[in-house]
Amino acid sequence: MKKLVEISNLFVEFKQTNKLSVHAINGVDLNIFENETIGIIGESGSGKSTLGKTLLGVNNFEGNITIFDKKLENKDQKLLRKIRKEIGVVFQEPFESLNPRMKIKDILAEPLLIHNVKLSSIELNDKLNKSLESVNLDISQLNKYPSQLSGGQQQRIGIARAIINNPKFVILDEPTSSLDLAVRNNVLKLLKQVQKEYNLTYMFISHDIHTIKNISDKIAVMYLGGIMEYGDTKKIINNPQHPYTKALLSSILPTDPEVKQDQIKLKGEIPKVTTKIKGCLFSSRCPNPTISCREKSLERKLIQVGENHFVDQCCAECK
Amino acid sequence: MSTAIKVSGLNVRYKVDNKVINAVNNVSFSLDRKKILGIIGETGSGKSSLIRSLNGLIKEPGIVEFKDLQILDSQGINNDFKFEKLRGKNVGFIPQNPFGSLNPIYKISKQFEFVNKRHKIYEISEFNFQVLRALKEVGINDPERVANSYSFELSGGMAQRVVIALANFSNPEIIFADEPTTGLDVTVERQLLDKFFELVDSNNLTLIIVTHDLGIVAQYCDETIVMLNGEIVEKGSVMNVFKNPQNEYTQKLIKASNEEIS
Amino acid sequence: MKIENKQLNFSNLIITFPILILLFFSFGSFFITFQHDPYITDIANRLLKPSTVHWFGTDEVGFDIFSRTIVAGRIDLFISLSGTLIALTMGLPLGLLASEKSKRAERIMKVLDMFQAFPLLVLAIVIVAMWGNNIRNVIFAIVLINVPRFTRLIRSEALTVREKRYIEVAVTMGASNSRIIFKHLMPNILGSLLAQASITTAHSIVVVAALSFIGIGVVPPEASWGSMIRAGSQYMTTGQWWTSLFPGLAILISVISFNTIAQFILRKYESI
Repeated sequence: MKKLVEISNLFVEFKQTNKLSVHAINGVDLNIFENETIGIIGESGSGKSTLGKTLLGVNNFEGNITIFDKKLENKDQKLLRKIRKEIGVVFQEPFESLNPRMKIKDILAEPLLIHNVKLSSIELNDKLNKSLESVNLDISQLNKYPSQLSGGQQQRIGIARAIINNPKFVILDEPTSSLDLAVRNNVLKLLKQVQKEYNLTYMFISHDIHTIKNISDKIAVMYLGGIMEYGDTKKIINNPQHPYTKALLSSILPTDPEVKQDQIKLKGEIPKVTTKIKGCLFSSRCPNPTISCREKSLERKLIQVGENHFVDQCCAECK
Repeated sequence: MSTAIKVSGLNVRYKVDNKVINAVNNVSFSLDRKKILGIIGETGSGKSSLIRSLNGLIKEPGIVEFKDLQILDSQGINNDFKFEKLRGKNVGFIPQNPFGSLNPIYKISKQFEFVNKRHKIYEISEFNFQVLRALKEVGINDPERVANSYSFELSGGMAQRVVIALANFSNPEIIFADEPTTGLDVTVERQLLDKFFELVDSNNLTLIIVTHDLGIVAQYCDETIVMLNGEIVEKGSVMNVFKNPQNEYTQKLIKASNEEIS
Repeated sequence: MKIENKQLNFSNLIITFPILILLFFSFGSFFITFQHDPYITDIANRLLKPSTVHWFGTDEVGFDIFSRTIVAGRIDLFISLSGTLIALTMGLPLGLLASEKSKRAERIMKVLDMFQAFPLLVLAIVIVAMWGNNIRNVIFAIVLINVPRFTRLIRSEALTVREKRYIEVAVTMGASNSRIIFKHLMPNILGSLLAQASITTAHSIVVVAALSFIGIGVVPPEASWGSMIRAGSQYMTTGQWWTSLFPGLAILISVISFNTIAQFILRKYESI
């Protein structure tokens, strides 16, 4: 399968005003293949949102990122412009992502205008109508303002906007977190439908395991800026290898009162993001740490433990 | 008395811009002591207005009316209920957004001081000890540091724990919690809910949790109320409602939470 | 949630009164043929009480106060409004540029800080006094006082809007800087801007009146509310209450009108 995005040795550091640095991403290797949905799951401070933003060129980074066979450079505005045309973005909080003073039709047309897509007014109208239809919305919504739509409808507009330029790749950062349950499921169904119809590749970032489980083909579990485990969704969910993945999965609350789920408790708290961690990122909370965990070199690596199943090297060596 | 709370005919209305919004419509329910009630609802169901009205927190332009309200040993008929007697002492309230409820210019210990002074809960001599105890009880491992911090120095999970400790400070008999774990990491959420569960058992606590998360209700609650558009559409024990939902909306909710999208 | 519509919406009518009043002051003098010419003195008929002949009475040199109040309105409002609008036109681009995260923005703010270290009202008085009492110089003074104010205001509004998620979305979509400023920033600060312009006009009316009160700017025989109040002030204690009252009321009503308009704009703006 063709590699759409190739990330290797990625580090992202934000310098704060108080001279401390936030180490948002600490050595990430990841490949994203065409037409797949990769779910990035993590808690706060895991770096999952930063990962998405880095691919969009919002912040500076160290390491190698190759998107659509083009190497991303920090300040290369021209390349960034070309790449941005091919990447769609859907953010959380749909209402906040839409300019409250723009009509829906202007919001949808904006990506076309930004990238100088030349269309006659008839062609533009046609494209806008099709765009709304593809997200199951009525074309009467074109002349409304965002505040006149429900949360679910607003998010559909967000999705329509993300795909109107026919991108290859769509990054979704918590797109359903602020939506009610039934609405959430509808949006997820729509996303799957749209993906098939337009041959899209998704990077789905979320903290909600249930949602990620439902939509992803592959899952990457992030903790403190590094990937702890990566592989096919079924493998990760049914046979987690990393203690963090196990703890995360055990925290899900089943909605069947007869089914009990005991939580695997991790000791300690998530360390401050400003500390540069030596060796294994998870060592301070691992239930079975060894001395060597903290001394390993900073280079993070994923070791294969099964078909389409990888785990952070520190954990793999522990077994 | 074994009944912790009894509500009859509760209405909450808001008058905004010449329009009247009926947030809560004719709600009645009761709950025994040492039980945990989960109020389920989506956005706009009126669940937040309900729980705030039961704590006397609805102000203009909101209007609260009821036929009869009984919380612990206090009773009120026809819109008259003295909330001030119970608040902070026998009744605790956990609001939705912890940072919105913690005053950023005061240290955490000061916030406890306010509560203590207002309700004369503990003597000055044992005040510090009680603060540390309250913080430890919610799973804070370094209570001295947290007590000496400002709210903005704390993470979301820590702040929420502080707010829960504040609500629990006076060892209340009943605690109302409005979406207490929304926005928290799932590992932290579990820990907090487990703590709640312990407190119900150890402190004879009655707990009412408002949430949109069915998992929380299924795993931690004894009874449940399902709200839609300001009205109760189904109520009963969690086992009955979840395993054998009668109302269409409840069925839809449960189906949606179990749905596998393919 | 059930929503019921209970009453008629009267709030929109409130705006008509201030607008009518201000239109009257601004243009009334072109359409009304005054009983008495506002620029002709009539010493024989000085200090007359308000009557059917002289509706607001006459002042110490026999000017008809009614006609002069209206004419003064035209001048004072013209100065305040044009000064404010010019200051706005200058402050808007400065404020928008100053809201960026650039060296240029920092430079603008440094210059602004230096500028505002002076008491601008005093500076305005000095300039008008030095360069002469005419309308152009008073407008200049109003502009001087208000450009820094608008720049700061617009900058702070723009900074707030820049934090919004839809701006982040626009950036990730690849929007150019100018697109962000014109399509996203401006529409979202416009309402607040117009409201502020209205309030600033109200404030400028008082400044213009203050200037002409101390004899700078618009001075007799040109009509101005400030100078009229000054002229009438000595007679307040001797029983001729009408000499200062009516121009004073005119200022009051104009200021209230502009403030009401500002509130109305804000309310309409926020309701979207």
